[in-house]
Amino acid sequence: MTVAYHTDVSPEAILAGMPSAERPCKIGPGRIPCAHTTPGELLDMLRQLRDEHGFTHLELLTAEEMQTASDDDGVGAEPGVRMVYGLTRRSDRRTMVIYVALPDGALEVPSISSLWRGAAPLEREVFDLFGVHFNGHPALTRIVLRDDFVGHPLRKSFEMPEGGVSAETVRAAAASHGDAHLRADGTADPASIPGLDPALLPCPEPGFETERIVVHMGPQHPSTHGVLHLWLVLDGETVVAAQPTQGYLHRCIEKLAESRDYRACTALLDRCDYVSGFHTELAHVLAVEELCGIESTPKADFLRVLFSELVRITSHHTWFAAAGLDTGALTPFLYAFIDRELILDFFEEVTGGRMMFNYFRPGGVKDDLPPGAAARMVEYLRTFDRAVDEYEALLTGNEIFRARTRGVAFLDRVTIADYCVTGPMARASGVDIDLRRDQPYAAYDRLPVRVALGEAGDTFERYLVRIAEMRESARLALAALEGLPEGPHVSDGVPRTIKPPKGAAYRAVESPRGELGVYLVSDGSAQPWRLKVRSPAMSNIHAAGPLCAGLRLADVAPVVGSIDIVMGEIDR
Amino acid sequence: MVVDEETRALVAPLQKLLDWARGHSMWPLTFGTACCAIEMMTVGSARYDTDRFGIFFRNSPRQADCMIVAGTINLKMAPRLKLLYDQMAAPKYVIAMGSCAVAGGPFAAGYNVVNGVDAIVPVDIYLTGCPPRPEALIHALLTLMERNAAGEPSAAELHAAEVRRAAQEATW
Ligand code: SF4
Repeated sequence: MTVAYHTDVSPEAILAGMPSAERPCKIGPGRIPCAHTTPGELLDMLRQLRDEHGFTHLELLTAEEMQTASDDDGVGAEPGVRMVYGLTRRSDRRTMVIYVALPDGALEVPSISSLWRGAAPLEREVFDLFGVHFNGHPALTRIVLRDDFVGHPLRKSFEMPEGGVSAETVRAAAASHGDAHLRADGTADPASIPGLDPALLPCPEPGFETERIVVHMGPQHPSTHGVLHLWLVLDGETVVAAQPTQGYLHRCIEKLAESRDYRACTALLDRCDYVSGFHTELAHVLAVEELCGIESTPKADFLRVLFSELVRITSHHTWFAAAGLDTGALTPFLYAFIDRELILDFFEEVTGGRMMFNYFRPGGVKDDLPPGAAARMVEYLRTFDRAVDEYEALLTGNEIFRARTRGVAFLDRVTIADYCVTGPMARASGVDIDLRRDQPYAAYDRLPVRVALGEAGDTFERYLVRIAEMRESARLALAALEGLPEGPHVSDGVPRTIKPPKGAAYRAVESPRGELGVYLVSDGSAQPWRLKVRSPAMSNIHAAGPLCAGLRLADVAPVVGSIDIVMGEIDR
Repeated sequence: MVVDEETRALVAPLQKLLDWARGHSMWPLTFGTACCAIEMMTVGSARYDTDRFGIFFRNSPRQADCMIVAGTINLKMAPRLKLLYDQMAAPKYVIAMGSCAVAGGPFAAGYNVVNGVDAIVPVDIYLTGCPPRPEALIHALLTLMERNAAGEPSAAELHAAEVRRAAQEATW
C-alpha cells in the first residue's frame, strides 16, 4: 500500500489547519514547529498526523516538569507535567512536537500504544519517572526503577537522598528483589509480567505432557550484552514469547544533569552510551549550540565527523566481537579488539581518554589534533579495509555462522515503524534512513556520505550492514582528515558560563545504534531544566519481542546481539 | 587463607601448596554491568592477554574464584549481585573495579545508585578510575594473587572472623 502524502504541506501549515492543535509555536530558535493539545484530542490528532500527513515515526515520547514561572511561550502557569510527543515525517525529515499539559492532580493521558507499540515502554518510563498515568496502556508498571521504589524522581518536588543512597537502604535493597513479577522464592509469576500474554502459558495440546516454562535470561548473563533481562516463555526449546525488561543500569543521568552546568553534562553523557561516547556528546553539544545560537568552526565540524566515525568503528568492533562470541567463535573478539586498541590510542592521544572523552564543547572541540596525529590516522585508515577483510574471512563465509544467522529473525518494515526502530537494524531491512545524509549535522553536508543498505532483514543482513558501515566509516573519517580545514578548533566568544535563553531544542545524530537525540529544555539558568536522551537502543530492544518469538532458545543470544544494545543508553 | 586450629593441623602440609596454587591461577567471574565492563573485556584481548597470568574469565559463579564488579550497581541490581556472590564457592574474593563500584562514581549523588559495593559484599581490592585502564585491572588481579601466595586472608574471611568475634563478645 502506498499513500501519497502531501509533503509540500509544511508541518506549520498542517498544525495551523488543525482545530485540535492549540497555540501553534516553534521550539528552539524557530526550528521545530509545535502545538498544544488536550488529553481528549491527543489520540485522534496523532492518528491523523500519522495516517494522513505521513508523520509515521515516533521520534520522542517524554515529559517535562511545567515551568510555572515562565509565561513567554504560553506555557501554563499551573504546576504539573507536560507530555512531549515528537513526530517525524520521513519523506522530508521534518519533525513536529505536540505538547499536552497535565496539571498536578490530573496526571492522566490516553496511551498511544495502540498507534505505536513501541510507545508502550516509553510510556512506562514516563509513568515511572514522572508518575503520569496512561489510560488504556496494556501493562503500566515501573520499568527502570524497582517496583518498591517510592516517588517519581524526575519531578522537581522529588527529594534526593542527602549524600546519595545510604548504606542501610542498599542493604535492605540487596535483601529483597523488589520485583513485583517474582514470587518470594525468586521464581517468576508469569501472569504479572508486563507485556506477556498469560494466555500463552497453558500448553495448547491437552494430554501432551509438556509444560510451558518461564525463564529469566539476565540481567547477569554472558550473552545479553550488558544487564538486559529477558523473560522467555519456552515450549521445550522453542521461544513462544519474549519480553525484555530493563532498569538494571539506571543511573539517574537525566536527573543529575539538572544540577550540572551545560558543559559538565557532557561528562555524564559520555557514560550514557559508553561504547560510542562521542555521539551522545555531539547530540548534546548541538542542542546547546542551537539554544544559545553558538556556531562551531569549520575545523571543529570536521573533527566532530572524524571522531564520530572513528568511534562508530570501535563500537562496531565491540558488536563484531560479540557476534562471534554469541555463535561460539572466540577469534573475532581477538581480531576486533586488536584494531579497537589502535583506534583507542588515537582517542587517548587527542582527548586523554580511552572511553570517556569529554571532548566536544559548545562552539567546537576541546583541543586541536596534536602534531603528527593526522598523518598517523591517515596512514592507519588507508589500510583499514584490509582489517575488515580479515574479519570477513572469519565470519562472512563461515559455514556455522551462516547457518546460525541466515534466515533467522526477520525484521519487517511494519514492525520497524511500529517499534520506532532506527539505525543499522532498520537499514538491514531496506529502510533507507540515515541522519548523516537526511539531516546532516557537523560537516556531513560537506562529505560524501554513502548509506549501507540491506534488504533481507535477517540476522545475517544486519551483520553485513554493520560490516559495510565499518568500511564506510573509515572512508568518511579519511575524507574528513583529508578535507580538514585550517583555522581555530573552537569559536571565540563562547561564554564561560553557558546560560541559554528560555526555550527547548531537540537535536539527533546517527549513532551506531540509530537515531540518538537530546531534548534540552532551558529555564534560563546555567543548568538544564530537562535533559532527555532519546535512546535508539531502547526502541530497538523492545522489538526483540516479535523478533525472538518462534526461535530456538539458542538463537536468542545471536539475535539480541544483532540488535547491538548498550544498556547505559537504554536505562540512562 | 585462615582456617581454625583443628583444620590447620590437618591441612598444614597442604596449605603451602594451596596458597601457591591460588597465587598462580585466578578465575574471575565476569560481573560486568557498565562502561567498566568494556575495559574488563579488553584485558582478555590480545594486547593485554591475561591468560598468560593464569587468569581466565568464567561465566558461572560456581567456577569462579573472584568477582570483578565492573560497573555501576543500582538498587535493582543489588540483590542480583548478592545472589551471584553467594553462589560462588569459598575461598572467594571481590575486586571493586571503577569508581562506581568503589563509591558510586559520578552518580554517587543519585537516587538509585549503590555508593560502594562494600555495603553488600566484602571487597578485597578497591580499584579506582573511571574506567580504570586495563593495566590497572591487571595490577589489581596480580596484587590479589600475590596476597594469596603469601597466605593472606581474604576480605570475606576477615569479615566472617569479625562477625564471629562480635557474636562472642555479645555472649560475654
Ligand atoms: S566508574 Fe566510570 S567507567 Fe566505570 S562504570 Fe562507573 S561511570 Fe562507568
